[in-house]
Amino acid sequence: MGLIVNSSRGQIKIQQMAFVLVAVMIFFAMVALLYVSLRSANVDQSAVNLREEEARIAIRTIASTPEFSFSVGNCANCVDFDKIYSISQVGNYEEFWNNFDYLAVEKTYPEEDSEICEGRNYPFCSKIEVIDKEVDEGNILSTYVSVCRWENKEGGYYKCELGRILASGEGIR
Amino acid sequence: MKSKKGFEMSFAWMFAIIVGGVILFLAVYFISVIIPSETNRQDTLSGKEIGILLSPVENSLSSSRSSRIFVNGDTRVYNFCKGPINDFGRQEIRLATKSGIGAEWPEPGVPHRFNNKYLFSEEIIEGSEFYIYSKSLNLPYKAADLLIMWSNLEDYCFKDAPREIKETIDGMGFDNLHTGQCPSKAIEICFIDSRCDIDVDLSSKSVTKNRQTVYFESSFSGRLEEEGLIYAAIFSDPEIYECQLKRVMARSAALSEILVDKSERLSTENCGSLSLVSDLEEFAGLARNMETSRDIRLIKSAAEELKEKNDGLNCKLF
Repeated sequence: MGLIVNSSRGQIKIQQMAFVLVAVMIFFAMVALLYVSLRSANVDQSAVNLREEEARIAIRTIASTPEFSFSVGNCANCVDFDKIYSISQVGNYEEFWNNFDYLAVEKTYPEEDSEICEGRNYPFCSKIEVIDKEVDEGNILSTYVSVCRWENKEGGYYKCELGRILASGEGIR
Repeated sequence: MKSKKGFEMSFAWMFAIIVGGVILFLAVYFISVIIPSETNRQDTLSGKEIGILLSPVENSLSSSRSSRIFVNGDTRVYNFCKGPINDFGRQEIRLATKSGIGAEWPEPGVPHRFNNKYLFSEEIIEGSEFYIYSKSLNLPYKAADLLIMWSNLEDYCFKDAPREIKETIDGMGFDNLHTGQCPSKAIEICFIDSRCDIDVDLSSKSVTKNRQTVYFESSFSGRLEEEGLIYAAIFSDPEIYECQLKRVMARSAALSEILVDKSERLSTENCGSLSLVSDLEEFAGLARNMETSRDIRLIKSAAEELKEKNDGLNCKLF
């Protein structure tokens, strides 16, 4: 009789141990899952923040890059509308500025009749889209610049108008 | 009578030892997995931050600028350059922070790729402070900002440097660049002697380092202090210098093609820009097909011709 009692008590203890071990493993798995999900959310947020920061700095400095700058006069914040239009036609600059999903230059004053610049309406247009990856652009940043080009009137002169550069940083995909 | 007392382990003890062992094992395992991945994550973020910090350093209004980057603890910056193949080439930056656990220098973080930055330095730069001298390259128009980078760990001594170079070096304001008395163990850069760590020959416009010779050119004024490439050649590994110079030239060629398009558009407006098309195309060809820095002399002379013709235009292209 005593042997039977001891054996069943031992079995119960083994079962208890098994249950506790399973519970401990589940607990650790849940903690690990929580850690991984929190960490990956944190990494995603860090990446988004860094890319936004990168786009913010890039948009501030892009006017003085050789591709955008109006190098004829000694103008600090002037962009060359003719050069930018040529870049939009060449079309291999998406990889070059790989930190942008969207990059455009827009004349804001005086207003032009047509919107997007194309072969038929250039230069009587207001906006050149250099990069448009046709994705959700998210937060579009802008900075004001002088948009300059050669005007062939009255013997020819460099004409500068008020404009802005529009850009959005590359999103996480 | 012999005592039959022995050590009897109760179930509770056995359970505590087994579960405790499992918990300790898991804790050690997770820590050994998490710490390197956390270090790698931090190095990756720092690498990106350094890349972002380089943007305001270049593209400044002035033609040259010097800056410092401070990092937490001893850090290695890995500079990788991929030369252009029908594109603009690529700059990669990776970071590794010195570790107190395991290997002294862990695997560097994920590489950050930039197509529009040109970092001239050693392949691996180590230090806790990094110095950057940014200089625009105008050949004949501004093609890029050269970012010349070194660290606080090495002293550089410029022996018998011409006055203009001395003034530029002193003007940078970095403590580890010396133009007067050389500290011991400093890397010696000689302008007259030719048995130093780095030999600069101003007559042939060449820099010899690690038994390899690279070539540089001046900007149009011909004034030494305006030469960015000489400093790029001094502070870079010759392979990095050659690769980055090719990338800059690929960008210059692409800019030339943009100017061809611009000149054709302006030609309808009677400004005479069409006369530059053949020169721009020739310049683009030379720049794109540059094989080594030895070709820079040819590119410079084509650039001079281009500049002269552009200056004579009513509607200048650049």
